[in-house]
This record gives sequence, structure tokens and C-alpha cells, in this order.
Amino acid sequence: MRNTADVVIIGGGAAGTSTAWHLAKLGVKNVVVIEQNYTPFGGTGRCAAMFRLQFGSEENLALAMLSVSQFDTLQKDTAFSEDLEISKQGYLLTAYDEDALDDMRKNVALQRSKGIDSYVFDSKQCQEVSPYLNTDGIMGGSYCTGEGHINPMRMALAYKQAAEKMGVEFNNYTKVLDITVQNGKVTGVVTDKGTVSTECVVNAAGEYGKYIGRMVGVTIPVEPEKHQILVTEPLEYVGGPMIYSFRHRTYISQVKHGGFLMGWSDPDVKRGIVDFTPEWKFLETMAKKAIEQVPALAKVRMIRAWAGQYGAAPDDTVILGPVEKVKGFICALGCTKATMFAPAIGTLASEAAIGAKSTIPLEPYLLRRFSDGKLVKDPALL
Amino acid sequence: MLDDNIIICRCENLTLGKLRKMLESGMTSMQEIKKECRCTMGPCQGRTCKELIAREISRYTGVSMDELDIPISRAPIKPIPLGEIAERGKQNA
Repeated sequence: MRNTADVVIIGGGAAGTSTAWHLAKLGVKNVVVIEQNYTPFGGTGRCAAMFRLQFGSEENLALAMLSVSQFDTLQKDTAFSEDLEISKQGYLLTAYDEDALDDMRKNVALQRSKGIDSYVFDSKQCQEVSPYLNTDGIMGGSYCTGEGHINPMRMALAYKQAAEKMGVEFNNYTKVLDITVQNGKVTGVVTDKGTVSTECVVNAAGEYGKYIGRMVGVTIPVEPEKHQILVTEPLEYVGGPMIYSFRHRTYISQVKHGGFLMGWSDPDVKRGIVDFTPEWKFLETMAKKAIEQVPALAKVRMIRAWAGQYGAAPDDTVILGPVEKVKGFICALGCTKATMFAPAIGTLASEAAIGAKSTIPLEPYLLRRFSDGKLVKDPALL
Repeated sequence: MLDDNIIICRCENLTLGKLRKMLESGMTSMQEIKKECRCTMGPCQGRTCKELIAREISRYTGVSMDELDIPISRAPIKPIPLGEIAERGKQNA
């Protein structure tokens, strides 16, 4: 491991690998990434593989639009050898009552004002874009095709391998033990494989972000929160949007590879615990809710289920940029959205690390917003 | 090599040649190899391929198989239709 670096990035998931690639693109010569396991061990490798435009706040819309514009050229820009499996089949957000539909009308109006091609649908239109959907009880929904899937495992590896070619050093199976600070400035990172002296550290540790914050005496309100997903055997790709139901607290979609990915947010999950154990309760609930929405899935076989952690923030929005208290300490935390916002996180965190002008204003995403009471309000989140 | 076309992961059609290429490119973490090509993630859940892939990595790197980052096997052992899982839930209710 190098013993000195211009920037040390902690975390080799979507946020960390994207930040590393963007820093190298900005011409920073000596970037070192420290990853406690491998790329991508955490949330990135365990997520639902989706990227989304249908948000309900200006703050999330800005990050989503910047990210999608970079996804469009990511395969070429990283020259990755495997297909990133990007497909814009959209989300279909279903509404089972008039209030939910009303919220969607407001969100779609905001999205359209930004130039996003989203629509409010009645139940017949929902059926047209999603022929296998059981529309019993569905009043309507919202739909957009500019969003969809990406293979998050390959995305992180694409960023990593392209960054490596530009001289970034990646250290797998290396644990950060401490960050040294003198006179309010970062001076180095201590790991179990040695110490790297640096004036800039990027906290891209995702669901572990608060532990990294503690090392410099900064409180980061990110809590690990267990979520589970199952995937079925691959079937012929039929396409169609992800079915995202606030009523069922579920999402169901077929990825380009052929498997159906589905997840359910357990309302009884406890925040603050890192737990990778898949549970029967999840399988049973998910299977019932999936069949209720897409009856044809009853005959499809599930092949695996796993658990990962959200890095949940109080407003479920990213935490980016510098922290006032410690000079040289930069946040690049996706807070449940590191995969879908990886391009934007990498862009903004790398700019913050070198003190360059920000592509979009950083103000709403700073850690300070929590103490200032300026949380992001997004009604389009589950 | 002649055996480059041998399929080492049947679920995801990973060939020995492809695996060797990945190793030669510097990718020696079995977890990263899995994340790139989905080997061990198919319907067999690695029962057929996991040992074979680990052995190839061990041969290439000289690291003993015991020390490799071999992915865990996940539930279920065999694929189950979602309908059967949901039915089992009804019986429990």
C-alpha cells in the first residue's frame, strides 16, 4: 500500500469507485481506495439494481438527472468489457387510492417542469405497459421511461477497473482503524495494513459511514437498516417497468439477465443493526405480495435471497461535501441511493475534494443541513 | 489453450478461458469474479462450480483454497416456486 496519497477514499462500493474514477479524470494523480472487503461488498452489491427519475423533490431530481445523463455513456466512458445491462424500462408506481394518486399528480407535475417525461396513468394504461399486472384495486399510477436498471456489481467494477488504469490504487480486505487529525486538519489514515498520510479523506463507507465519522469526532446520522431481496431463475426477458407499490411496500422487476428481483420493506425493521441473515418471514411475505400483484409469478422459482443494509439518513437523501469541523474530510454517502446516484456522488465528491466548482450546488446535501433543520422533503420515497 | 472452451459454471456459461482471462487481468478475488460474471449465483447456487473455480484461482495465484474469499452458499438449497412459499405461509397462518 502507498504510504502517501493526494486523496484517500474509504469504501469501494458505488460511491467510492465512482469518486475514485472522477478524481482520476480530474487529473488527481495519487488516489488510494481502502475497502474492508471487496468491490462491491456492501449495499451496492446487494441493492435492487435500479435507477430512478420519479422523485418528488428538486434536490433528488437534480442528482437523478445528472446521474442518468452519465449512465447513458458509462459503458463507453469506462470501456468496461462486460455489458452494464442498462435498460430504461421505467418504474410504474401504483396507486390504490385517490390520495396516493393525488400525490403522484403533484410529483409528476414537478418532474415535468424539469423536462422529465413522466405520466399519470389510469388503471387501463397501467395494464398496457405492464400486461402481467393484476389491476384489481388499482386506481392508477405514474410512469416514466427515462429510468430503469443497471447491473450495480458491474457498474462498481467498471469504475474500479477504469480508475485502476488511470493509476488509482485499490486495497481490498483492508480495514480503516483511525483517521489522524491535527489542528482541525486531516493528516492521515491508519489501516491494519499500514498508514497513509494524506490531507484529504473521502468517507464513502455507505452504511458504515457513521463509524468513519466518529474517527474524526463528527456525528453522521446514518444508520444501517436491514433490507432483503430475492431473485428468481432467469426467464426470457419480457421487459416492462418495475412495479413499485407503496401499498405493499414492495418492488418487483425483471432485470435484463432474466431474473425477477423483488424486495419488501419490513415496517418492523430495527435501525442501527448490521445483519446479513436472510429470513423466512421475508420470503413468505414477499412471495404473497408478489403473487397478489403479478399472479403469473406463482409458478416461477426463486433461486436465492440475501440481506443488505440501507445506510438510512433521517431524510433518506445523500450526504455530500465538506464538513466544517474537520478540514479535508469529505462525505460521499448515498444513504440508500448510492447505486442510482453513483455518477452524481462521484462528480460532486471529487469536485469537493479538490475544491473545484460544483456541477450542481452542494448546499442542500451538506451534513450541516441536519443541525440547521433543513432536511430534504421528498414525498415520492417509500 | 485447447480447454479454454470448457464450461466451468453451467448456470452462467462461464468458460475456463474467460476465467483465466479475468485472472490474467489482475482480478484474483473470487468475490469480484462472482460479481462480474454471476458464477455461483445461478440455479445450482455454486454446488457444481464453486470448488472448480476456487481450484483454478488457487492454481493461478498459488494461494491455498482455504485462504481464498470463496462466496457463501445461500438459501434455498434448491429453487422453490414462489407459489409454494406463499402456500406454506397460508398453512402457518
